[in-house]
Amino acid sequence: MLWTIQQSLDGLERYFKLAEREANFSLIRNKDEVRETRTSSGPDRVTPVLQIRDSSFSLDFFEDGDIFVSRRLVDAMALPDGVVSFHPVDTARCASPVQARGYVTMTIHMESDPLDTKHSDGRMVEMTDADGFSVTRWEKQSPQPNSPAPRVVWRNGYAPPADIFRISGTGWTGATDDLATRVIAARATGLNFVDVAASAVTGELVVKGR
Amino acid sequence: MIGLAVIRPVGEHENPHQTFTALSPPFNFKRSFSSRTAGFGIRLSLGAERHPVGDSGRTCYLIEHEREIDMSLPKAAMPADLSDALSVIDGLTGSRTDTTSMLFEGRMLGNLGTVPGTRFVQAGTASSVPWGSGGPATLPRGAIRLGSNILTASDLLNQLHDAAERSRVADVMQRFGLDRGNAANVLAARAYVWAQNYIPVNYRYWSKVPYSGPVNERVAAGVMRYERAHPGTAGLASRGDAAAIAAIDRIVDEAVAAAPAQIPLVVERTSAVSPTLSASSTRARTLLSIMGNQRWQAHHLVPFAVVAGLPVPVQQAIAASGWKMDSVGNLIALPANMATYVLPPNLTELPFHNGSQGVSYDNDVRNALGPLVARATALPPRL
Repeated sequence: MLWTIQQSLDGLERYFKLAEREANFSLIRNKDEVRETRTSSGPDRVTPVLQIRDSSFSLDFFEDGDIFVSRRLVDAMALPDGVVSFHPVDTARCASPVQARGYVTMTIHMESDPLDTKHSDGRMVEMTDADGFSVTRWEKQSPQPNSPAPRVVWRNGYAPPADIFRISGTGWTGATDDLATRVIAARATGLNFVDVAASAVTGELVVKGR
Repeated sequence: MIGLAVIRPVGEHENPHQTFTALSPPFNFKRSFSSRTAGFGIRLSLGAERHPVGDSGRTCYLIEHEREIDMSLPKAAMPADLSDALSVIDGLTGSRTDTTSMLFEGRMLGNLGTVPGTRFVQAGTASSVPWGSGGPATLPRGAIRLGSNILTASDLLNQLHDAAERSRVADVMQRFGLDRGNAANVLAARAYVWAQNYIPVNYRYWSKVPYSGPVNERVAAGVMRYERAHPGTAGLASRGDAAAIAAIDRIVDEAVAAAPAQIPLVVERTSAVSPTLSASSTRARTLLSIMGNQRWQAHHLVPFAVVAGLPVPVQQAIAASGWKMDSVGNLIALPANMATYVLPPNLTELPFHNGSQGVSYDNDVRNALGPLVARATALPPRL
């Protein structure tokens, strides 16, 4: 069983409700600087400065450019070395209970292509790569307002490279059932494990039960 | 001959997680207004929001009451409808009569933020609110005279202490091409933000004006235009001036009446260089087949503001190439709210978009256009 990790609606509301009161609609004080160095893993990578003064803020997972995870979620995921990396977050401006949650940002290193391109909705497209060469590649169909969700079919016998990984050609983060089970058992908040293949078929959000 | 066919903000749409907030200032979240109970030191904030559950959406009214520090009720404790919300306030004010008096009879349309020292002229009809002697005088350097006061654009901008409001006003000015050096334009932008936020939660209008979407935008745009022509109207309305409120009433009624069951967001941005570089939300939504579908918005990959900011010869060259602002190649339908963002068919693939996109997005596109602009400026001038 393959899941995708999504922010929950409640989590989105909770975060952006607070963010709405702030400049740039973000709780990250130096968001622009962080954005510019996000892809760097070196010393020039800017540490996000989180400012959450609401002491009741308790999401274990939220996204605002980066993926932010609490120490509790890090522990629950129990990922082996090399699958992801965690980066520090400056929480000095946060309320004490928020600081205590030990937020870090998470970069996912693994990427994999589980899509069955014969049976999923998509097409071959020509494009120019970063080096200026013309390349042809399969591209998943984008969601359309007045159409059902593009069909998603996973490859038969697909073996994920890790418990968490990027799904090529999409913005999705894939997760194994083992990981989903661990995280749900820990009652982590702010995220859902979504079956996008079933959701596309049914038109309803199909999530792993809690 | 140059073309923009290959121009696409690379990366912006390939990874929605990275562009989520850049594209989507959450304008469509809770709208609220506040009122302070005399002598109690408790701030009440009545908010109303479209609870994003399911595709059809379910309107519910949420109430949270706060002390001076940010102390919200747990969500589970929030009442599910307006009646319950009022009951919560009753518990704080002591009676329904006091609640009604505080919230409704004051006829406040919202807190615009006052202009210190300014005495707005009262009375008169809404369409001809008198402005001292001879109407709102336009003075040199974009200043205006309201009553006995002279206000400059910088005065008005400096009064925006709240960062979020400042950011929104700046967005509106950019989006509608308003002149930051003109006080009436600054007031108009402030009125837009005010209308977008406060009108949907005011008792006079909350059954008519949604918290986001085309009708909300249309009302805000109407108030903005009126404010530009009659500076100070929103300020008067927020203080309970009958004529100004009547003007707002009319704007709201016209915006709502002009809306069939579902209306498109009508935003026209006219290029000074070529009609093909103008943007029309009606045209864009038609091209994307989202007329009447308020869950999605039309997003220009290369925004109007970016093209309009290019040197005129470059704009002329772009227009001559046949490229059009409102064309399928430059448009993408994006979710207009969080529910659409999360639920099928989108399933978080495309970022959500409500109102104008962020400055950082425009900057990215501007940077992506850099080489093209350099080439175009090197071309001989067109005769």
